[in-house]
Amino acid sequence: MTILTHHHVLAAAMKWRTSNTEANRSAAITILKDGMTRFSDALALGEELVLLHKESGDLDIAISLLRTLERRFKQIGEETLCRWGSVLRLRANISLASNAIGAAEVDLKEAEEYYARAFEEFGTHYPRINELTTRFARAGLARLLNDESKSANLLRTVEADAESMLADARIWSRLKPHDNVWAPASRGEACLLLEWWDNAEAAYTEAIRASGAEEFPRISMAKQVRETLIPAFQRLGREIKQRLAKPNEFFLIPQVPPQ
Amino acid sequence: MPPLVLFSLVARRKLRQRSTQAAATCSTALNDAMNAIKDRLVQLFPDASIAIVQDVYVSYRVRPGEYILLVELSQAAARDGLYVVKLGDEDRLRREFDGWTACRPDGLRHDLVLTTLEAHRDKADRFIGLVYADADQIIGVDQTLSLEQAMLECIRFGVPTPESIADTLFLLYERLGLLLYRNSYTDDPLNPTLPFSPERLDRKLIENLDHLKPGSGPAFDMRANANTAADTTGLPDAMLPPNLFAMEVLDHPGDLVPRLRRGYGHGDLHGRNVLVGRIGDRVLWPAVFDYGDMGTDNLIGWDFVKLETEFKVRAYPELFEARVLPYAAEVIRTERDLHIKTEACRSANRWPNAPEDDTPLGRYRWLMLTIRRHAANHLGLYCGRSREWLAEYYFLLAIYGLNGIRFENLTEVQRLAGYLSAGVAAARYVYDRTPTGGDNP
Repeated sequence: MTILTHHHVLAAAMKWRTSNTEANRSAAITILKDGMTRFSDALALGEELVLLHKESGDLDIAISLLRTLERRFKQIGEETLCRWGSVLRLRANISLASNAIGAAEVDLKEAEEYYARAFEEFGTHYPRINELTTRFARAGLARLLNDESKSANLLRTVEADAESMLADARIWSRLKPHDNVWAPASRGEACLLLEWWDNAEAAYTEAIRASGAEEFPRISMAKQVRETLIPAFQRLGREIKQRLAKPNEFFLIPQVPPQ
Repeated sequence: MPPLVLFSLVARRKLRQRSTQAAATCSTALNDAMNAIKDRLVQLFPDASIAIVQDVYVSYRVRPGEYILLVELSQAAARDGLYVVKLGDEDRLRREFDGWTACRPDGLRHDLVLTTLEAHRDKADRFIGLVYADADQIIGVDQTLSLEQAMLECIRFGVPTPESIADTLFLLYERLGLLLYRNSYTDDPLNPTLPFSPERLDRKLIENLDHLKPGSGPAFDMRANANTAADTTGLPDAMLPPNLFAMEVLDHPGDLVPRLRRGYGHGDLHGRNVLVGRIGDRVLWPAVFDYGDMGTDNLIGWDFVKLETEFKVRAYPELFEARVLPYAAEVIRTERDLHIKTEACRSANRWPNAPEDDTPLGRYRWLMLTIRRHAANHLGLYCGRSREWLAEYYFLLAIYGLNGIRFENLTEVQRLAGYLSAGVAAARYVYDRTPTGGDNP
């Protein structure tokens, strides 16, 4: 006998991840909103809804929902903290596109703090790699503002932390069900920050293989490289080399995914 | 001449702690309590010259006017010695004595484990107190302490030794099995002895579910923390919200209630209702008291899941860090691992004879497995249900674990541990009831 829980709601909603169309996202939003009424104690439903609003480009709604979740839930988990980080980083990228560098700097700093808090509390690779990538983006921004010293300092800590992250067995032992995909993806990203191109490609290839037919992880990995890492490398006067220089090709994305 | 009633320093300190809240509105609360106790003891032991209250035992739920005391009688002719005495509300005393009378094995006059009970009444036949007659057996050793305290010290320090705790549990359950549990039967939900009612599972089940109803407040926080922690561990299937499970049980008892062993049981067996003696690094001689819930149609499994759950909610905060979500995640993992290990022991019909590792967590796991080993005997092996018993055990853990929500004297993390224990057991119960998992119909 099956007892209906929020996991069933979540599983029904997460179908949008297999096929990321506007119609599927809209259906998922409806499912999640209904589910949050019935299972008001399930933070995971709210976290997924934040992700959907972010994917749909509704950042203000996503941020408002995150604030609501923080008020309602005394204890927020790794996912909520990382959602904060990712929404703020996306907002920073949008600000940068319109040259609003000050606003971007504020958002990136706050995003890094959310990721850092998640890593401190849960000790997993997912917030840690995002913390380092966000700091890397901040280093690029500092150089854009001609603050070479700050940029160099940030870069130094990114490199040191990325190396220690790769060497820290505890981080790689705290794995979750989908970490057959996300753990190698995080390793690939850490190697990319260190400009270890061959290792980065190998780890990302492992992640692509593990994701199988699922589109969502590949799109996410490509997006991270395309929208956050490549611009940061460029601001630092560097470039991503080898096959990862063309993330859509590398991650087998036939076209730019819908924004 | 009435006896002189004296209080030891320990007893006075504990009475002062108990009357602190009452003293906020009544400055004489402590003296009033001591005078009430004195009056009762004078009535109980009119022939003694001196009655010394040596200790006051504290159970989980403190009821106003109810005291369990260790009393030493002196110059009381043949009655010199130490006694555990219970004072309190007349109805509760009467109910306890009735339960004891109904369950008392024929011809039992003295027992090392199940301390015999005497009722003392006044001239109008009203109950004035109960005396557990055989406390002497464990007095005179280095230290007398509750089983719960012994188990907590065992997991903290390794002393008393885990092996001596296991021996004590063996004595406790084998003796209760012989005197009580042998008088039991299997109640099949498809052909029940009495129609299904929530009270037959747990008298407080409906009340517990009321406390857990949707809404804000501590219950919401507990449910939310449990869900978030389960999702954070990456083991979302390891926990089934136990309130949802219990509501489903009430809606579909025919589908979800397992076959249950019922019969003569203590009904309130937990680590504070068992005293043990301590000699050096060993404990021994368990003595059970407090028969307030003793009955002839109790769930036998309750005597195991209650001891386990009440202990674990107090042990987990000592084992894991205090931040709520990482703590809850560790509890979920530990509970799940414990269930997997229990299933392996059941399949192999072999239980570990010592902790796998000499750490607090290792000792904790082994003590839990030891309790389950006895449950396997009394709910399973001794009644021809060598696989089925575990489904019943999970079911009862899932139902009993909801009780913590009502108790304000538990801390937030203790209540959460009880809820998580229930949730992981509920998830495991559903799993274990699959055709290959157990021999349920």
